[in-house]
Amino acid sequence: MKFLCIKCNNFMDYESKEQVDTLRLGITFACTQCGNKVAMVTNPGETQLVSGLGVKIGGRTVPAEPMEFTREALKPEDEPAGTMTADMGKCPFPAMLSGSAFKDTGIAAGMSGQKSSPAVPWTSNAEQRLQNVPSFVRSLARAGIEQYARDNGFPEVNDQVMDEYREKVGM
Amino acid sequence: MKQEKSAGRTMTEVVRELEEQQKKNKVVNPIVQQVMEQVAAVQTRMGRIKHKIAVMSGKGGVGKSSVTVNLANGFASRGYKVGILDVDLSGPCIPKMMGIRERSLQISAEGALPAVGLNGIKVASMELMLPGEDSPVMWKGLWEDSAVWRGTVEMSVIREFISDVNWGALDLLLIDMPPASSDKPPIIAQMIPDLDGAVIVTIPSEISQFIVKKSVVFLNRELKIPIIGLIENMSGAVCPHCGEALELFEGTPSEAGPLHSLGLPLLGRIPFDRRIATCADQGRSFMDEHALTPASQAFRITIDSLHGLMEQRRSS
Repeated sequence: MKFLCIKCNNFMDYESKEQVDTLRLGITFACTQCGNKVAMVTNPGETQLVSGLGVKIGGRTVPAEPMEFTREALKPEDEPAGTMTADMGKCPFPAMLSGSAFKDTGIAAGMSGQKSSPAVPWTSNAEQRLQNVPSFVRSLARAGIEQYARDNGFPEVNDQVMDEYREKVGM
Repeated sequence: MKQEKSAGRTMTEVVRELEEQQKKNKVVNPIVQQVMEQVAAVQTRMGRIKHKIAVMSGKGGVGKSSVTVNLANGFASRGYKVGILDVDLSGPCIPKMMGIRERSLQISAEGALPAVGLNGIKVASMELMLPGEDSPVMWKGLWEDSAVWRGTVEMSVIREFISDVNWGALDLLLIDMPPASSDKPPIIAQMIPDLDGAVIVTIPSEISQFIVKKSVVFLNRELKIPIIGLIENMSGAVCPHCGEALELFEGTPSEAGPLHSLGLPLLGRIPFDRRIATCADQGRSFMDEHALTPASQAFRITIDSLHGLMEQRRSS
């Protein structure tokens, strides 16, 4: 995919990327002539297929490690079906990122083969509220909420966690 | 769409011109660049391996892995440097058959180092990346249950097994393919362009040959994978008590059955011997431990035929 600066008749160059939230990635392109910028916000599903090719958006900054893709893609046995662990999870973007945007989230640890974070228990009420999230993003929402609970010292995902997380991400 | 600034030029014309410029300046898309690097890595690894042969069958349960292991042992005992790439990602059994199920692929700066089993045979398999004996192969993903996603992931995993495993210099790499698969052979055909070809394993049952024939036609006609020849496995048996030869199947043998019309060379017929399975279960070499049995003799004949065809192909 390329972006064309209509003003300059020039292809824009990839400039940077950042995590918008647990679902999406913002990728910025800039025109080398006028400096005009546009940002593309990725669609999780389509971008996941690109990640399945074992490539990094924007190019690699470090060479690929041996069997890197396989190690990242292999799902640990202790990860329940339909959930995403914080280290790598079901979100395809971490695997596509060659930069450091995920270093503080534990994703980098997952890339180096460290064990995944333990699952956080859910109250039945919280679990019920999760069902209100559209099914195609539910597993990603679950992972984000669990990560929020872990980061903030909650022993379980309850109504308070759900409320705080909703406020945080604007769900 | 008309360009406001560049009067008379359409967006199509502008894009074409820019792409021409990029081509002239050798500007490569970063994604394309990475794919090109992946292809180069595959070529580098495969360039050090003299012969690459896929062991395939359109039918499950015909003994592909068992035949693969015995071919590998036979070639290794003749001094060949042999490797086995287990492409059966979901049902990887080569490490257990080679007595190395407990080992792991070692990651080093020079690549992933294969585990070394019987007769110095190098092995790469998903099994060597799994934490336990009962661990299934599962992939992470937003659509982890989707066949499309699994196919995409497995394509990249196979590509990594081909590009990242440091086999060193080998005389022969045997690629043990999953059964009844229509998605993995195209990956192998695309990623290993100098594949010697495929050895097809069947059994003397009409149903097996009927299905195997379909896969042979697909491999050869659609994927242009050369078919080196057939191995008829479970081709009769020798009674362990009286030594009398008996037919396990009433079906027609390969030279008269549905496969006959394809005119493929029959590399050998391997009689059923339950000690082949016992040795596989225990990770031991049947051909070394039961060298004088009719089955071992049949494997040696098969290896002679295969060796002859490999050398013929190499010299041509």
